[in-house]
Amino acid sequence: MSFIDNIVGFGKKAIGFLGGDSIGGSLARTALLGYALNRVIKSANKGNDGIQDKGTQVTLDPDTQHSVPVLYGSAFVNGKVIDAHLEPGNKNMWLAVVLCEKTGNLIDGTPSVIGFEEMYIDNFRIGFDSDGVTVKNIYDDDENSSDVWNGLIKVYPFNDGSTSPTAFTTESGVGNTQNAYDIFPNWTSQHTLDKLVFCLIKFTYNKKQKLTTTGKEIKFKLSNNLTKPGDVLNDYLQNNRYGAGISSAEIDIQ
Amino acid sequence: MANLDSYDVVKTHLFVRVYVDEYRTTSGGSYTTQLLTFSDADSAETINGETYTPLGEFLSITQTTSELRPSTDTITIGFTGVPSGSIDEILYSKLKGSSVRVYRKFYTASGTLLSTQGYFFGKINNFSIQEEYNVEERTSQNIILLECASNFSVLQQKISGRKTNQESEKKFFPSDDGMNRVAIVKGTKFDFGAP
Repeated sequence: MSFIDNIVGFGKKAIGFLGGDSIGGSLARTALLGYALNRVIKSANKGNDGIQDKGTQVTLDPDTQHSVPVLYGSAFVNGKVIDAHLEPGNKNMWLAVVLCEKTGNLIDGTPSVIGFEEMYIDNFRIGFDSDGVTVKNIYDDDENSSDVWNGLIKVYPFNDGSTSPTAFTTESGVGNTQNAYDIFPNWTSQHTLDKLVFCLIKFTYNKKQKLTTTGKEIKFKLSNNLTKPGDVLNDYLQNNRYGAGISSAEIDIQ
Repeated sequence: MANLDSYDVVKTHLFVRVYVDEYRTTSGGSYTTQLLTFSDADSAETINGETYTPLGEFLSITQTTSELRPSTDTITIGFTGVPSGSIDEILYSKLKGSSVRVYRKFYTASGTLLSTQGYFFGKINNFSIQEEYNVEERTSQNIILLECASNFSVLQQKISGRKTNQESEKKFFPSDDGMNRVAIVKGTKFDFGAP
């Protein structure tokens, strides 16, 4: 006996009182079975409607022993998470990622400037909306674009501490103009992140648009105008924070 | 650099320049910067506008090796005949880490200067004091030894840069709270999108 036979047996038992081979009995049995089936289907549909999106449990793994790199010229740098915040309602999640050290001056005294050129989340290149902050499109390696994350991610770059907002050099939008501690939840003016190049990123959860995590890898292409070997060596030899800390008197600059 | 091969005899003297950032003569005195310049010559001489006091035989400097590539060499500079009254200056000043430059001058047998060249550039790594006590005269003399490590040696041992944690950030920027939560965030579970 299969379960099909069991179902038939159950049906016969349940409607046994309407037994008989008359048309009336047959109709009555059909009507009752149809009603029962209808209830079952309605119940199943109700159950499907009631399945709630439970979200994604995101576990971050910031590295407390990560050495902040020094970047000269142009390079790709992975962001290292230093803070995270989930807003009430659990829909908006913020990350603060450190990228590299802010470097010193060129030999002629011109301050070095580190610019943000590109951003990648899980190897998708990010394209921004006209405000220069909100993500509009993503691009794969073949430059195929998609607007699946349109409006769900906002990116705020800083190139010399919390009070140095900047914009992506490859974007035409205004870009970031606010201090970091005015953007990131719970930060105060004590969150200065002095002499650091970093980025604040806001993710808005949307299962339909396939944004349910903060990405495994957040990568930036940065560019430093400190590129010449003499400038680089001079900066690295003299810097007290990340370099050798040698005084200028010890270096014979020709 | 003069070609010394063409001379049968050359004389040399060593000239030491020590720049002490925090120098004082008493335990409660305030620190000042102090430039100490001295040589093993028998008369005062000038290099780059700075006059070097002749200590003659009272100064000894150990040998250093001369190599094409920079090496992690060390030298010891010794002073003898230091009166006990001057020991305070050594004890209460912060000699360790002071910059040391040693120059060498080459002369002909008749005393004509041929050349001045660098001999050793480094920092004071440590110092020690040895006392020679004369029981009969109730007097003592001291020998001060300055152990110096070359700049290359100092750089080899140096670890710089900052790490993404609170302690490292506070070391450079004590008032910055930007990395206070790195350790807290590590392992924290965020229910992103939960109802």
